[in-house]
Amino acid sequence: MQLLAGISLLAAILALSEWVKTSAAWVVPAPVLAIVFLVIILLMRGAVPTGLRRVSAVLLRHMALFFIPALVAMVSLFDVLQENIWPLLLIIIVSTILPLWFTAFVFARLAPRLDDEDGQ
Amino acid sequence: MSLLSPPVAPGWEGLFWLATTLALYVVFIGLRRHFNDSSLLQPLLWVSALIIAALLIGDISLSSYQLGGDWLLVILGLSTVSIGVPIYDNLPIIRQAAGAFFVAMVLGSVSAIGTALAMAAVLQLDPMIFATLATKSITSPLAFGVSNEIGGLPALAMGVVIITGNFGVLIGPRLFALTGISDVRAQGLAYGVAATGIGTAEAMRRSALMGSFAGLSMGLNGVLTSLVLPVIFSLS
Repeated sequence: MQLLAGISLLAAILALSEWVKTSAAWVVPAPVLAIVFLVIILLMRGAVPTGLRRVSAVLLRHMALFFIPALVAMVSLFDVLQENIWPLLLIIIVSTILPLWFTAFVFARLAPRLDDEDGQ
Repeated sequence: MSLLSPPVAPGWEGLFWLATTLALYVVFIGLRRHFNDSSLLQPLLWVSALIIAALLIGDISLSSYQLGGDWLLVILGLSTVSIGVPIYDNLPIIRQAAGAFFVAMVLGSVSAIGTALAMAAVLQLDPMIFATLATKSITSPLAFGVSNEIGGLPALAMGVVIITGNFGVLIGPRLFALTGISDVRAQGLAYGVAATGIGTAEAMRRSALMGSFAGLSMGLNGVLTSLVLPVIFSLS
């Protein structure tokens, strides 16, 4: 029951955000809007309901699984990708490594230390 | 392509691909565990590669796969909303580092777009590809629209975002070990900016704190970049 309540809450929030998105014509995409709504609801409630906690734990741990169809759909891009594959790959490699390091580096320099350092 | 097109009845084909995807995912989760969490064994990358190979070899249409795959995309939507839970849990930690978060996110985002565009200019790529690369650190549902707006190729933009995400996740652990950045907040933030959705999925798997930083930077950076890029491209 609790699990079902958790799933319903997530689905309802997503529905609400899709509706707001289509009727308000914002640049903010529905999933991002939905995250904001959920945080607001949790702040108002002051705690995470048990069912939602359990559902979200499973959904988040296996998020990569749900990306598989998006990756498989790239099969339809082969033609576009093939023409420019080497310059594109080179650019993607450099422009991923650099910001990955730089973002983490800047934050680690500026941020106050975490109280429990190992965090992990 | 909407990430949330309503599923039609999958039929035997769709169910076959759904079962295959799940089974392969489970196998690769097991393999990765067996090989001490090796970052080379990303289930997402390998399962997708195997399925693409199967589709190509069997001359099977993508739409046949999508009959089953679309169901997983619906769950991706629910899974994305759930990012709100760890963000809520970690709000005090996020608030405490809000200034550093914002500065690092903006500088990181500029460095991502800057290197991509500078290299595209040096390599003299087609203006269309140039505009497409500008959207590479925007989460895919947003990248699609923005790319369209600034004269890029939306389908290619999605591809670039996805390849970027996979590469980021592949290289991340090694890079952070090499540069001695052990702060999970910093790593999460970087995954969110440089590897967006796929980076957030990986961060979430590693720890809730890392995942909440990734989810937040992915969302915030995606929205900000979407607002800024069209303005810049209309000026140039």
